[in-house]
Amino acid sequence: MFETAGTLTIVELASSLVALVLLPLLWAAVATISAIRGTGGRFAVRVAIATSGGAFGLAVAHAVRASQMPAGRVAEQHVVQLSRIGQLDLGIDLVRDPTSATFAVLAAFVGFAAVLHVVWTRSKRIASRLAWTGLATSATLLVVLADDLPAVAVGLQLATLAGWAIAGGGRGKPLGLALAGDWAVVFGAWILFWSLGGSFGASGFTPDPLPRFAIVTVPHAEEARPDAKATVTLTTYEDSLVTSDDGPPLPGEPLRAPFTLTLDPGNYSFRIQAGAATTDLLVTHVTLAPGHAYVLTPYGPTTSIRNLSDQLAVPRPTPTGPLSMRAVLDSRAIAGLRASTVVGIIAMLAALLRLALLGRSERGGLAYALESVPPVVLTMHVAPLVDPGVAAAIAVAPAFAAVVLAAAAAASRTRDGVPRAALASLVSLAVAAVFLGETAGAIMILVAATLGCAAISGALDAGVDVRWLGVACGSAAGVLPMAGASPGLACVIGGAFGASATGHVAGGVVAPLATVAIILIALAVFRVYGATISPARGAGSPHGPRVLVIVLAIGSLLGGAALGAGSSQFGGHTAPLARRLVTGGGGIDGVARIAIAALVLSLAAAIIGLVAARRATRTPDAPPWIKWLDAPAVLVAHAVGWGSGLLGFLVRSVVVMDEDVIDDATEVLASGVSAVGAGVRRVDAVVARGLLARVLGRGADEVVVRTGMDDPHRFERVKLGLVIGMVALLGLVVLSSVFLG
Amino acid sequence: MMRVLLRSVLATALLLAVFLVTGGAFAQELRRAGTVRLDAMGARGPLELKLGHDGYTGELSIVNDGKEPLIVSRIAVRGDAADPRSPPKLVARLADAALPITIAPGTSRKAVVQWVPEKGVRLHQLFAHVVVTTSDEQSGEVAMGVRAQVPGWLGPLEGHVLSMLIGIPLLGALVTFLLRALGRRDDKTPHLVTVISLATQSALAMYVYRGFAPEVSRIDGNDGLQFVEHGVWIRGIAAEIFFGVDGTAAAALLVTSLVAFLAMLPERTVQRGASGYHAAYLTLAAAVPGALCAQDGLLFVLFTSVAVVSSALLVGGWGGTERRGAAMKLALLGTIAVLMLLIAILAISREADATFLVDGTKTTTTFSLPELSRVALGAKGAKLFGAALVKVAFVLVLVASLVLLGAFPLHAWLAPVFVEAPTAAGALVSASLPTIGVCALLRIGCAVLPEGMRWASGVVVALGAVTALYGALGALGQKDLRRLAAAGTTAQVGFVLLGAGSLTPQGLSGAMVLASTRALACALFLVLAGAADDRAHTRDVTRLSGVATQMPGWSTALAVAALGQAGVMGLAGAWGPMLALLGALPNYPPLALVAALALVVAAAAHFLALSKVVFGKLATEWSQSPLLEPFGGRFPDLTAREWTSIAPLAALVMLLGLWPAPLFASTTGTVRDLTNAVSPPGPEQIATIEAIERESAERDSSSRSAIQ
Repeated sequence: MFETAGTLTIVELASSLVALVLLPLLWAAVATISAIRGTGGRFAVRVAIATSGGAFGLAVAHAVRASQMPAGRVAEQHVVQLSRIGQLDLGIDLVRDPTSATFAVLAAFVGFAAVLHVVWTRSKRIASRLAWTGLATSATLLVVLADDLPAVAVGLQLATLAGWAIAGGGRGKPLGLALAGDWAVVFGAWILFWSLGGSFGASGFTPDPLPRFAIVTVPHAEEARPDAKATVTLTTYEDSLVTSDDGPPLPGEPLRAPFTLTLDPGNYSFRIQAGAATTDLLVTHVTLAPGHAYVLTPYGPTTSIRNLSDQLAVPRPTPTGPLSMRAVLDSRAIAGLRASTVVGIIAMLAALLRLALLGRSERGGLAYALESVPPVVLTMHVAPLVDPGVAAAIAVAPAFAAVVLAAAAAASRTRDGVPRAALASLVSLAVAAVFLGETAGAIMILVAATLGCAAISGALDAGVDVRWLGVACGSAAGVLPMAGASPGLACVIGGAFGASATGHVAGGVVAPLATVAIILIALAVFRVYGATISPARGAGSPHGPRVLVIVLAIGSLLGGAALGAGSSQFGGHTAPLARRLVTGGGGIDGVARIAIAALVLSLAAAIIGLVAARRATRTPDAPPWIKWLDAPAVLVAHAVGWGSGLLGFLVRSVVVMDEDVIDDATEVLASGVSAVGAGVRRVDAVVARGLLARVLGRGADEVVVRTGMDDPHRFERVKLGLVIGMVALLGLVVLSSVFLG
Repeated sequence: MMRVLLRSVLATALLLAVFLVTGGAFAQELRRAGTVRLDAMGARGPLELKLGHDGYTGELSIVNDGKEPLIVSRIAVRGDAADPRSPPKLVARLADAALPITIAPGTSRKAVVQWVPEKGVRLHQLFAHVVVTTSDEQSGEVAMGVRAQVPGWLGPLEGHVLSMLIGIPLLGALVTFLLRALGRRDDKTPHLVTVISLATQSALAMYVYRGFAPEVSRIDGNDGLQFVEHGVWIRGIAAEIFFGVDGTAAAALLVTSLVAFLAMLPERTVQRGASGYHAAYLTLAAAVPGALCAQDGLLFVLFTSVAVVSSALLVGGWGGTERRGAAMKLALLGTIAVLMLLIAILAISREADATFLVDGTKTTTTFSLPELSRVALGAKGAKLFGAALVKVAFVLVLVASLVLLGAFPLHAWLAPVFVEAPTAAGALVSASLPTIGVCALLRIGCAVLPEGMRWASGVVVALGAVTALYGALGALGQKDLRRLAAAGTTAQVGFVLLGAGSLTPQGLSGAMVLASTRALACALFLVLAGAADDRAHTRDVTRLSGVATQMPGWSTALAVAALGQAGVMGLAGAWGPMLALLGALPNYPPLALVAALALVVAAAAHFLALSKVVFGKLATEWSQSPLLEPFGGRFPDLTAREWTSIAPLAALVMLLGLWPAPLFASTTGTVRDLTNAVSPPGPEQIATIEAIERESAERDSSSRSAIQ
């Protein structure tokens, strides 16, 4: 029962991934010190440019290496082991696979661009802006690269902090929603953790008594060893010690993980000592066959993303036969829903709540664009756990959120907030795509939208040539066929069609919602374009920001094109790059009719939005129907306002309770003590005719007079006396300890 | 009448004489049998093992004080495989004979006790009992305490590190008094003495932390304690001097010592009575490690009461305008807490099993907490106030812990003390009393009264969730920085209760980690609030709006403190709540959800306060304020002296946020012990494990037979 077989992720050790996270922190630290010291920040600027450029270069190098790795392999760096308590193996591991490498390039590039933008636009408080940009970049890279859900949560919250600061602080409600999203991730991670093992009974949770480790035969992992020996590998539970449980000792035991051990074929038992706060883990009586490769793998509760995917791929050995993780999750019910569904819903909500801060702010240079990455990454980690039918139903919510955010962007009265709101809407669509199984489409949208919206913001800030603003708008809105966001948006609609075709009704709801969102996004960004084109702009704009906008706009266009072009779903024969980044095909692969319909519909929607924007910007005043678009956002704001009102009521109640109940209760207690004293006096007066009072009174007077408590100077002496008494008492204890202990 | 009286007296005298004569004869009869007495090199005990070429050895004499031969049937080290009281490799045997052996009247035989610690041994001390079983039925099993100390860097002082940790601040207090008596009545001298004392204490605490082996648990012996000092104090009442460091105390010792030292650094002037203030401060700084390391119930109560009294004295004697009220609240609630602890300890100790004091003296009463944790109070059916002792005692300990922690609804002292106390004293009180509360809850509530904890776990978790939400909502309504710190503390200690009540290793670890991280962030916050108060004579965040433009250093440090206190992930304050949530979730999901909401609200409260300070607009009237005139109408940023206090605390809050491993590591062994105590495997689990083992064994035997 300790043996099973399947295709596990093969892990190679990496060493420089942590540098990707630390380099932005370095410039953040230097900039912070510069801000505190009030120096001009020239050194901080130099450091920021050098390190952000270095981080981008390193991210590209990692992407190149990731592209050269065979399928099914990842590179992992174990940064630090935080704790191992019971079933919890808490550490920080960073992983490089094609998807994370792509996101890392995107985040590092946006961080680099944001630094250059801050420097070239000569922003006020440059050092502090650089510091927050560095923190945002580092946090985003941590979210992207982290292999553990707690580390992802840390990255998310630091990203929220940085995003809030970049937006200028304040904003209580969006901030509250974003924070709720962050903690929802932790809550969801813990629900998932406990759902992966053990049982909930009448007496509460009983930890899982099933084996926590099994040995997995990895098929075709290596060429058969010529010496007919077997290999055993352990790449999880770093720094744990492995020994033979019975039988002859293992060579070089205790072996410290990670390791690969070559053994003669035969029967073995392994004992894994993971730490004092967890019991030893056993893998007993397993037979190693000649020439085979085996991996010791943990099962059950985990926070490791790699281990989650391993448990999805390779069923757990149990006395009654192999048990898949999906079956385990489906067997757990929380409030009448499957655990996997609950976790999926929580992840979706967390992703959307995080967008509140992104969608409701207007300031922030280019660094705000980094906020687009975490929600998509988060849902990509969780969506595979959810049943496809349920996932399609979950996708309705982000599609609806995309409509609300896009409508708010389209109705915006100020142009600076539009790129942020549009980006939030596009990210919502990307989240919907992930739940529809169109992860590749989500990547395409994310890359094109992030760069495109950053280019729009850069163009608006610097007042550069409007042609490039138009290119950026076209790219972000998906107006240009098979470039920019277009292939990704087609994937969302195609995915919804595909879900509908396979009997998931929710797909039929998502498709129109996504179409409406695309129309509104195009309307929003081209309204900005229209508003900007009328006053002649572009002349005399500084060189640096102009180059930055051009690079970002081209990056957006080409990013979408490179990731999406040549897709088999659109009639091509070569799998697009985005498809190679993710495991598993899309929902509409090979169904050309659906793909073409989706592409046509998405383009038509974008063009409708463009035409509507042209009509809306013909006159200086916005047409009346534009204002109505804000209605959904206003409704949501009202709902949040009610929640906020309830919170305010609770806060006032607590303050009143503190002042009027808790404090008074203590005073009542004090008066109770006085009352007891008064009672004693009364009894004394009646029974003993005040004898006790006379004696005590005389005694008390004596004490007061003798100690001089009526004299303020002498009161000081009483205090001193009390301290001396305590010192003497403790001194007695210490001396006793020295002489007796 | 007189005659009757005389006759009565005579009769009584006669009866007494008969009793004495027969009694004496009876005693003579008893002395005729073999009577055992153990002797440690001519002393009473414990036997000190000396380092020799074959490990640590010592000899004890088994003396026959009786008039008949004494048969010695067994000499052994006390403990068994399930509860090894001593470290491994300790043996006791007769020096030159095999058992059983007969000792002639008036003679003695030597027994050798030998400890050969393995290379790289985790425990550097040995505390054990050698038990001897003889034919002396009246004495029964007798024991001799044994101890040994592996030499360390501190040489002969190695065995008294904790005494020094407690004693050095006391010495500082004595020096302060002495200097005052010698006429040094300035502020600087006592401050210097205090700083030197606390620096030394911090260095010692660091030594303890560095030397603490985190994976040691009870299974390793010495009750899982390290740096143990154990001696008989008052034999008549079985009171012992018993100090030791476990996972609850290791990091907390360092953190509280550092807070005491760093918070005092910038506070060079005292409004009145500098000597008394510094002496009281040092007394509190001595009482806290005493309480954290006390492994004897009476000692714990003693140190806790001194901590409460010295805290109240610091607030009442040297606090702000409302100091008397604040001190009264603390003293009143603190006294109630101490009394409840005392009643609980006395009641539990009354039910203790027969055991031995450290020197081997037999006793039926003990205050040793590790010894009390072995007593099956529930099975004994002991009662207190008409109800099950284990339940009543747990309620008493819980109420005391709630007071010390500052948890709802017994947190009335927290905000007034934080507001009124001098900055350094407030920081130290904020770090110390709640930490002692954590100790009380875990060391007595969980370890000594596990049945009580299991019985009330739901209530404890519910109290935790309510406390966390209450504190968070309170924080959202605060404008005063110190009151915000108090509300933040209440929110954080809610997670201590949540984690402890969860009965899971993750929750317990979270509670322990919180004791340290909360203390760091809160102390930093209070020091910064004090710095603002010194400059602007206000702690109102709305009035301090926008000061970041003029005080970027102060604002940056405040951001670290506020977000650390709010439990923002990536800073030290987050890991405890995270683990407490994880621990509480499987058994109490709705309460865990409430606690998670509390974290969101607490974080929002601190973010919004910070927003005003960092991103707000500075009021123009500040430029004309007479307070800022000496500084040219601008807020002066932190001074170098203030930075020496603030920078290490801020660095720790940030560092432990990204790398909390040192805190987690220090708790592992104790977490294991506490989990075993409060959450032993249930019948279903044991049955499943047995089934698995049975199946493995069957499979093994079948594979062997197949091979044959």
